[in-house]
Amino acid sequence: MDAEAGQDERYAAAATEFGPAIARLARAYEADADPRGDLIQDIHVALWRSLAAFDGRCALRTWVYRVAHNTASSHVRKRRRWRRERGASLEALEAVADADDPEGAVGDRRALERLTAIIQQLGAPDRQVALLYLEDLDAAAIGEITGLSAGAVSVKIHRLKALLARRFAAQREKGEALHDPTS
Amino acid sequence: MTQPPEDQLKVLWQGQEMETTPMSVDAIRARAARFTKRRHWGFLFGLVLILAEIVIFGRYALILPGTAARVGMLAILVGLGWMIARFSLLAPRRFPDAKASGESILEYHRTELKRTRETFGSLLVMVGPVLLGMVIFVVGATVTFPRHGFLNALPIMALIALWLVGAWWIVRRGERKRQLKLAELEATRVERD
Repeated sequence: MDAEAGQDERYAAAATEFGPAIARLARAYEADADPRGDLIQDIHVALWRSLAAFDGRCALRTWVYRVAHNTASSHVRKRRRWRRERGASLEALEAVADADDPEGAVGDRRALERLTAIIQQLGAPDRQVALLYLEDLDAAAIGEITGLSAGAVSVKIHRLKALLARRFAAQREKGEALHDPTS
Repeated sequence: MTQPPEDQLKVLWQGQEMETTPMSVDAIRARAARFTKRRHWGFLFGLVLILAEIVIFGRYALILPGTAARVGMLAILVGLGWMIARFSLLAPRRFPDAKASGESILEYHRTELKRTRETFGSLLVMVGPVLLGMVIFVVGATVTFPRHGFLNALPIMALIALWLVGAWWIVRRGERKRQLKLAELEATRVERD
């Protein structure tokens, strides 16, 4: 009974702290609203179930992100069986010309849509690195979550930054700067 | 602009409005229980299938003339039970295993790919007894009723052979795709410091 109460408590703490990050992660994995709702619920159930096996050998944050990404990856794999699509690598996306949006993105909403679309095109583990990077985790933390070395993560982040800079360059050139909340 | 663009993207990403309706622990328990219930129904369905095949094929195993045909029918009976049991054990799960879901993402992908990798050998282990039973049955029936001749048994033998070739091709294709994915993951491992 105590173990169950501990599991519930840990889950409540994790859900409060990481609930919004889980929702953002689900958005990056699933574009359609209905299955996305299911995915979020699945992640929460998987998280609750997994916390019974949580032994504190890693940080709760690491554990939560691992469970969330693993559940989302399983979800995507099952959906792909029907939709027959494959994720691209960062290198492949870098090589693609920006012909899809010659007018450039307009405003934060468009920028966010573009960013989400770029992430949704990535395959694992690039998508996972990109998402964790956007959640402001450092290379060491991303490495612990994904199983990649910090060096490998740094290389991926470098490529990701280059890709994002290129994709959003047109926007900046047109003077449609992203809203800077600190200015 | 006071922040580099990637930092602005981070702020934008983290600041997006999300429809986050928190799930209560009770709701989670209920969903997890529904999942367990579905699995139990799956097992029950498998059990009903096994019982049905025992009734249908068992009856023929008793009334068929000729020892070889009976043995063949019994082998089919056992093979079908084996196949249903194996299938229900290997069926993909909706949720990742509770313990595995806390593994690092790369390890999880590796394990999952290995778990779902089907080989022609494992497929034969699954359906082999049924196929062997069918062959014994067909040969036994041909021996028991020689005037019907071997030609009558030819279509079913041809079907078995066709099925085997088709299954071999499909499994090999799937195996190649999974192997490529695993190689991609292993290549990431090489990037380690």
